[in-house]
Amino acid sequence: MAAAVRAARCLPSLRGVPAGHFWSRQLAHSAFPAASALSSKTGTLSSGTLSPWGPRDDGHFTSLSRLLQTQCCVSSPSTLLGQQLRPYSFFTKLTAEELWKGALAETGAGARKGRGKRSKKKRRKDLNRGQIIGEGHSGFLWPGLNAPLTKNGVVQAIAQRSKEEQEKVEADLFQQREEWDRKRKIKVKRERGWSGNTWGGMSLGPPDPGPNGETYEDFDTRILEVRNVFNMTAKEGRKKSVRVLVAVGNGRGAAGFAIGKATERIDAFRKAKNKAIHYLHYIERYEDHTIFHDISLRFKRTHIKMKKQPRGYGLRCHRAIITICRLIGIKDMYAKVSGSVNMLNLTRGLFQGLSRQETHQQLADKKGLHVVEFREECGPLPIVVASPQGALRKDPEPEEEVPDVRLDWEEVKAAQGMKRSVWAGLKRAAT
Amino acid sequence: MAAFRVQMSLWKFLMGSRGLEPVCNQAVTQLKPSALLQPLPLPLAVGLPRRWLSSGAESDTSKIKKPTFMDEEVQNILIKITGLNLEKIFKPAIQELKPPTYKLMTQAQLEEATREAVKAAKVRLKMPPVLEERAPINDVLAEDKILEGTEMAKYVFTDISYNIPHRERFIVVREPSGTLRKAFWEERDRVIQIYFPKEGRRVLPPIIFKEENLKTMYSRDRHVDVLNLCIAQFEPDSTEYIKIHHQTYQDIDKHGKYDLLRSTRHFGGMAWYFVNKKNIDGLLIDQIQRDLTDDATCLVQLYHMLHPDGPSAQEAREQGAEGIHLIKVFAKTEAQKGAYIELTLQTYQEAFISHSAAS
Repeated sequence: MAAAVRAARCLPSLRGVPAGHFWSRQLAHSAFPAASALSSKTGTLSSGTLSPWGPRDDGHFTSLSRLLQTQCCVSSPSTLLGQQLRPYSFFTKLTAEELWKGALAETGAGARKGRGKRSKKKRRKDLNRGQIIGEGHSGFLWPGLNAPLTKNGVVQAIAQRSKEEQEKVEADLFQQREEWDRKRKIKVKRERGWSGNTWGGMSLGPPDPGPNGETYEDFDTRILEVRNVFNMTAKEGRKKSVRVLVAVGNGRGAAGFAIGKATERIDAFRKAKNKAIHYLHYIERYEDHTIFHDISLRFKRTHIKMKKQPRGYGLRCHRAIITICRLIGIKDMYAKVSGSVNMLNLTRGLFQGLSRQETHQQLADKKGLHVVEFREECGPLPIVVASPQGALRKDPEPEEEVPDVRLDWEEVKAAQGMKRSVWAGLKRAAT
Repeated sequence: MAAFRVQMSLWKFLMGSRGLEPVCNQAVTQLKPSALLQPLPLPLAVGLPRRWLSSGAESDTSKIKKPTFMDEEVQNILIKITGLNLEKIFKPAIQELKPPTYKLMTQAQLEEATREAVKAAKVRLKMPPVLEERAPINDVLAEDKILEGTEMAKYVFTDISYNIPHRERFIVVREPSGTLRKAFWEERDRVIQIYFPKEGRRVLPPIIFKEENLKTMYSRDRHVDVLNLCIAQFEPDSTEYIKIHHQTYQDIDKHGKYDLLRSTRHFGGMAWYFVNKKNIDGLLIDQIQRDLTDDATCLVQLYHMLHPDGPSAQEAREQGAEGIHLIKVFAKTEAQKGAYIELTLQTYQEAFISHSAAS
């Protein structure tokens, strides 16, 4: 310890470093190999600049930095201006690990039970980054440490850099550390789902490969809902759990959904993803872009009314239905959700309704008649879409003047022009 | 011609007495029964009477009248070779789409629906008229030198009464030099479009009818669109209409893209043009290659109807040729690419034989 103190006393302090910054304690910069064992304990405390903890944490750390400043410098009286360098202080008695543990305060009553505020979270920073054993303020070149050991087979002697060179080297290191801090500060742009702060509509990538080597590379998963649910336990009281509803699909008719629950959000994502891939529905599509016919269903208290649309119409539906339809591969549809909008019931109802579609072939077989399509743009041309595989019956389908269909009051109002809604017929971005 | 002069003097008198009024009802009602015969041709059912007029002198020499476009036999042949491809005739039009409707039908109902579609298709395939080019109007009604220099622009006076056919409307132009003349055909068309706008027609012809743009359209195989636009814009007997149609037909012939017009209403006009120009080789080859030998024979028959004095017609009459033999006779005698036609016929016959042998 005393040797280290002596060694540290030999170290000149840094000049030209702006106030409020930390400077490097070059404890390892000693010629004595005995000191190296010591430096391993205390040598971890050296740093470049301290200010970039992150913009939020400035306030918390200026006091700390100032404290460290005053403590860690030897006041060689004439040359330094308030910069102190202490070779032996509280900070030299503990490892960096312990010091950070104290500074970050991750454990404690404040952290438990969800009491920790997001803004109070501090991040650890490695202060020894960029440090080379052998580099010091005096600028000695130690062969084997910061200079090559042999040159042309001749073992080199200890040399010293010139003042300008040393200044340059130190400035370079300083610049490098600043660069690293700047890089760390850059905010990475992350993809957003239905809106900025929600997990709905975000993609989780393909599900993990199965145990027998099957990969699901062409499947995409989308989160539909993330909810924090709580459960009362005997010991801790309110215990938080994250419940995630996720849908997977490959865009070619195969899709499924599942919920996953875990304490951590990422675990819940993973569980849901891998569960959903085991519960796939195959949904028949007409010409790969829309449903076969209009569907109106009620699942528990959720009413969904889906309408078939021609190509180019896009998906004009609830955002969750848009996400699910994209995963299935439906490109043009209109859907209206009324009643409850509970995400789980909505998804369940949607999948149930889409799975129970009647394809044209099934309809033809059931009725024993040709299914003939008439398009406006093609004039009076009849296009036979499906013919019965069994017998074709001779008697035609009875047609009444007034069709025996249950009318929807909302639709009737819209058709009669009685609907005074600002949201009807609103122009939005495509799909 | 005398009657015409009488009309003109009457007209001049009326114009002079009433001043230059744009609307002159009375004059119209008086002149309507003796409507201007020349240079305005009568609409649609033109061919026969005019041909009578022109060939009145030589009626003694040739008893057989030359068949016209509107003859029943000619029309039948042209309709037959046009074909009736329902898929192509009812191609999806570019319009706002609505979801399709579905019906459950028995076989009988389906056939009924197909018949309805065929009827609608036949209406769509009605051929636009093929007329001769109209003679330009060069008729001066009055020369008033006293008015020279008073005005800086031409004035166009139109009779906009609702119940006159456009062909009989009076449209006159007073030039800055003082001459009062009848409006030219182009001016007439423009002015009538201003006062009585027709859907699809623009006042000034769109730039798509310029040479470069037409070439671009041809390179993109959009001959049908060009012809449809032309029909919408110009009158059937105007110079541009005929010129554009002939240009389109020539381009099709040059590249052999006859199939573009098959099952459209323009095919008949194209066939008529080629037969009149004695240039049916390309069309024949195309028909034989697509296994439409009946259509090819009909075309050759039409050719013989129009040119009965030609060598191939005479040969055919001598030999009493029928069917493919007729085409061979034509190929031997009058065709430019006779060898090619025979080669194609041979290949077709071989293919036919091998196919029938196989099946």
